Amino acid sequence: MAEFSISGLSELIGDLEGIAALPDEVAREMLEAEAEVIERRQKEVGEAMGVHRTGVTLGSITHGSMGRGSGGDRVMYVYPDGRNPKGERNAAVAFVNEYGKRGQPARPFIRTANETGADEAAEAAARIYDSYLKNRDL
Amino acid sequence: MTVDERIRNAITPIVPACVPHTYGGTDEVYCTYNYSASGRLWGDDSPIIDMCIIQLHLFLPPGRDPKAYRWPIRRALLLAGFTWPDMADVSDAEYQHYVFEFQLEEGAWGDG
Repeated sequence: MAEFSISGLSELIGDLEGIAALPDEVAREMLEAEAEVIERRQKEVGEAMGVHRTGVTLGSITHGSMGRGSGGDRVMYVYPDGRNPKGERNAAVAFVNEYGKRGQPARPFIRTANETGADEAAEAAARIYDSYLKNRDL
Repeated sequence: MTVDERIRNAITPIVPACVPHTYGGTDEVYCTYNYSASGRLWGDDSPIIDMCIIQLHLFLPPGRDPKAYRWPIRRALLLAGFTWPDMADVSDAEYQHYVFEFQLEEGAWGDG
C-alpha cells in the first residue's frame, strides 16, 4: 500500500495562525502608513480646492493612535485637531468647507481625498504586510 | 449625456431649481451640486474609467417637511445610474440643508 507523509505541516499551521492573529505592532504600522497617505492627500486636495486662507485648518490635519472601532476592528482616525487663533475648532471649519452652507459652495476635500487616496493607502499598508509575511518565510 | 445633464434630469422633476455651486434665484426650495472626477484603472498612459465624486445639496426653509424630497431624490439618483447616496443633515438655525453624496463610475460620459 502506498504511504503518504507530510513534514512541516504543524509549523505551517502555526505560521497561518500567526497571520490570522496579526500582531498589534504590525497592524499599527500598516494603519500609520495608510494614515500618512490620507493626511497628505487631504492637504493636497484641500489646497487644490481652495481650503486655504491661513493654512491653519489643513495644517491641523493629523492622525490619532490605533484604537478599536465599534466592531472590534483596529482603527486609526485622520482628523483636523485643535483650534485656530480665533478659538474655532479646526474640525468645525473643515466641516463647513466639506459641506458648505447657504451661499457658500462646498469644498469636499476630505471625502475626495479619502476616495482618491484609497488605493495608494492600501498599497502602503500592503507593503508592510508583505514584509511581515516575508520575515516569516511565507 | 454629461454629468450635469444626468443630475439635472434626475432632480428637476422633484426640485425645479437645481444648479451647480451656488443658487442665486428666488425659489425657497432649491438644490445645488458639485463634483470632481479622477481617473481610475490606468492603462496605456490614460485612465480606463473615470470616477466622479458628487455632492447634491437640498436647501429648504425651516418648518418645511423634508421627507417629501429626501426619499424621492435618493431614488431618482439611483435610477439615473448613480450609486445610492449617503445623506447628511447639516442644517443650521437659518435653513435646512441636506447633503447627498454619491458617485458615478463610467468609461466615458460624453463631454461631461
